[in-house]
Amino acid sequence: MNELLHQLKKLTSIESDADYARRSRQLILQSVREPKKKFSIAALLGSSLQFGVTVALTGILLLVVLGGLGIGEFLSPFHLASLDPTNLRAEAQAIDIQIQLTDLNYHESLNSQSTPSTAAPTISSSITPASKDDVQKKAAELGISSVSPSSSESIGIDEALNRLAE
Amino acid sequence: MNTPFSKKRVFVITLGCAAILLGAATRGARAAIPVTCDFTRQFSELAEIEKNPNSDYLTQLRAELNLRKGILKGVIACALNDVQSLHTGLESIASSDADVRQIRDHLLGNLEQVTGYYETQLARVDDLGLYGTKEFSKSLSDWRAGSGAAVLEETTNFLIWNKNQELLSIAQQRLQDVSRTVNALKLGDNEDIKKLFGEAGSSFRDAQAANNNAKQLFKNNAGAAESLAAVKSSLSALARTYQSFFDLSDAVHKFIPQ
Repeated sequence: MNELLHQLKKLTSIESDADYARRSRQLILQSVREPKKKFSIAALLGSSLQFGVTVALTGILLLVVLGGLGIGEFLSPFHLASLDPTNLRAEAQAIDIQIQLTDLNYHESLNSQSTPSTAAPTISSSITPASKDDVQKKAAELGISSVSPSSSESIGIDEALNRLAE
Repeated sequence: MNTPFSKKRVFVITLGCAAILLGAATRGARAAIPVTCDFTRQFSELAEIEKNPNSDYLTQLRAELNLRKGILKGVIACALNDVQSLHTGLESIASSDADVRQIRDHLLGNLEQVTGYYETQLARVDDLGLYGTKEFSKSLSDWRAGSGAAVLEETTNFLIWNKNQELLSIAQQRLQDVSRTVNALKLGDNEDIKKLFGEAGSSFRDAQAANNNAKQLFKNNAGAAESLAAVKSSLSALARTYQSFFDLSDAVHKFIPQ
């Protein structure tokens, strides 16, 4: 028993090796040290950009919520291209030109025979009728030669033949 | 060494080249005829000769005859020019539809015959006497009013009909686009719009039916008057289709917030 007590008392004098203690202390002190922050322009710009984007998005959100942009217009698919009067007028005028081509006379003997009742109706006041120049131009494109009735100013093919036959 | 066979080959090749050159020269000659289709000046000159008779009767007759022949040649040149324009218009038609190609080729054949007729008549002019120019003119005038006009009018009608195909295609696309718009706006149940859209569709179907009828008439050589009536009917229906589009445009825009 006394021996045991004597041994236990020896335990109080236990201490670590000096070198070991010094190394341990150094390790502990290094682990709690905060890393040093280096100054960089990239980092500064990055953080500025981040802040700016945040502000901008917030602003946009506010505008959308308050309806300041009239966003309804941009989101609307109904700008009605299919019923745009400008497009309709261009197509309708092309039809009008074709109708007028069917009314042109291609032989002088038919000049007196054309009857208004056989003429196809033009599209109403929605369009301006095609000009004679436009019709003549289209006729030329198609290879059609229309005949102008002989007048006191001109003598065409058929009038010339009639006069020569007299 | 020139064998009989190789001599024959050289002869055939030479003949072929000569034919080609002659054809080119003929076309060049046809194109070289001045095409002035207003004969006012020539008739003024003719009137001057008749008003101021020359003391030498034969000289006067010769002058009048030459002038008449000149007018006749000019008339035929103008007529050939008109035919050539139609020929060019037909040749430019390139279609995947076999019926259209068949009609085109048939009409090209007709134009070739008309060209042949005019060229034959042109060759006769120099042999005409004074009285002959009168008979010739009457005959040519009658032919133009009859057979000549029939061919030219049928060809013209077909050229107009062919152009109409493009307009029908555009109108069909327009009808589909309008249908999508009306459905997207959920206006299909609106009575006015439903009526107008129905009218547009009905008119377009009429246009297509008349167009197909015209094509059959061309194919069957029904004649210029019939084909023209069908073409006009198709265009009339197409015009009504677009009137409905305009009315629809006005009606639909009332529902769109400004």
